[in-house]
Amino acid sequence: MRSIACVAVLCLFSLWGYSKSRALRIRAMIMRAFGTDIQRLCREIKHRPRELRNMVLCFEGSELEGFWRLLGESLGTCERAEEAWREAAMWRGFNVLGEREREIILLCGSGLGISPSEPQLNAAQRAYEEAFSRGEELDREAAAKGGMFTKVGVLMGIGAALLLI
Amino acid sequence: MKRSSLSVLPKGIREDVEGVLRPDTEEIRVRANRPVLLRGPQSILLNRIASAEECETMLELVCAHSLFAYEQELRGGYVTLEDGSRVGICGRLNPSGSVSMPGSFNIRIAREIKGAADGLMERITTRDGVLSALILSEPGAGKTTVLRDAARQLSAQGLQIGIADERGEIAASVNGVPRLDVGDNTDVMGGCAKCRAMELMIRAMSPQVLITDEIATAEDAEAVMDASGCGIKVIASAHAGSAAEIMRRRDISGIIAAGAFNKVLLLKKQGTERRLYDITEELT
Repeated sequence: MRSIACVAVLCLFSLWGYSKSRALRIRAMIMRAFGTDIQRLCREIKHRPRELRNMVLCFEGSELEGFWRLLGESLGTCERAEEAWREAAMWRGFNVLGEREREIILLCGSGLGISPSEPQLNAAQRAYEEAFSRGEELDREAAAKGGMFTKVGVLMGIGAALLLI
Repeated sequence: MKRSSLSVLPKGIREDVEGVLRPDTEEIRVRANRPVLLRGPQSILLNRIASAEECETMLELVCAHSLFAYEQELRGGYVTLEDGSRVGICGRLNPSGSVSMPGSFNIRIAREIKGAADGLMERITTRDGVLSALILSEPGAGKTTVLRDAARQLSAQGLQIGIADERGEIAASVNGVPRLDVGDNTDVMGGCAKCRAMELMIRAMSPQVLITDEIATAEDAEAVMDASGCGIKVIASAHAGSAAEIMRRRDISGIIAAGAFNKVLLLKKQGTERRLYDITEELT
């Protein structure tokens, strides 16, 4: 029984370490995906400007499809696009994000829909640059800390297991 | 979501307007820090002041949250909605030519009135076919409503109709499909200058009758003459309150004198009624 408990404790702590590392990678992936989608939105605004509600349909198949779908729905009910963007930013797929990432996402919605094309494109460009930059930061953090979290998890697991023994 | 003259109003203003809107209301005027006005045979000044913020919201609603997609229309000072209503917008003119910081809106409500062109039909339908006609009137008298019904009635006679719908007000087409009844034998070309639309339709759609609204420029006049020269009947409208006024507009009076139109008719609004007066002889 004790050995089973030791193994279980070891696995739990190792899993904790692994999940911390994985969370960083997921956040990085989401920011990169967000940056890619905003880049695409810029291209659409530049080359095929049409109503935002129709544009968001082209994100079917994107990693953030749920966010864009929610945005499309919110645009039908909210009076301001910025309000619709804030609602969509509550998408559960973003629950894993940190405060900085949420700020970047919300910033992208500022002035949305009420700006002519040039300021709109400039704002969107700033947003995707920040998103990619944050994605790289998180990747570096994951590389630096990810291994550490895993090791700490394993060590804590071994320590706890030894205590049990 | 299809935009209409009511759906583009901010929620609070919409609720107030819905309570007093009449079937004969022609315009809804929203001005920042001033009362909302419903204009028609009976004008109603609401006890409701539109705020500057509500005007910003309204601009966003008019442009379906996509100002960048409506820059061309905003350069012209108006946006046409899916129900054919036209929203004129006043505000700050940007260097790009579009409007921002909206201060006032004028929603001209599109009304589809079947039978609005009955008077016109009586005057232009002959045994030998349809006559070309120019309808003159002051703004707001109902020229577009008459033209729309004329298209429907002529189409019902089996004629191939072409509508040069530069501002989208006659047919209110969305994705190429007219939202208002302009008849089954009718083709609509929009999104470009009416002279270009007429040229393209003559080339490709073989219209027997071309219908267009508010001819004003030398290019419009030339396009009408070209159509007339091809044996195509043209039914058009122009802004003028009298024969004397139209004579002061060289391009239009020139094509009238050249015989581009068989009939020149003055449309006058009297209360809820519209009357057509034949002023052809005064001008030719």
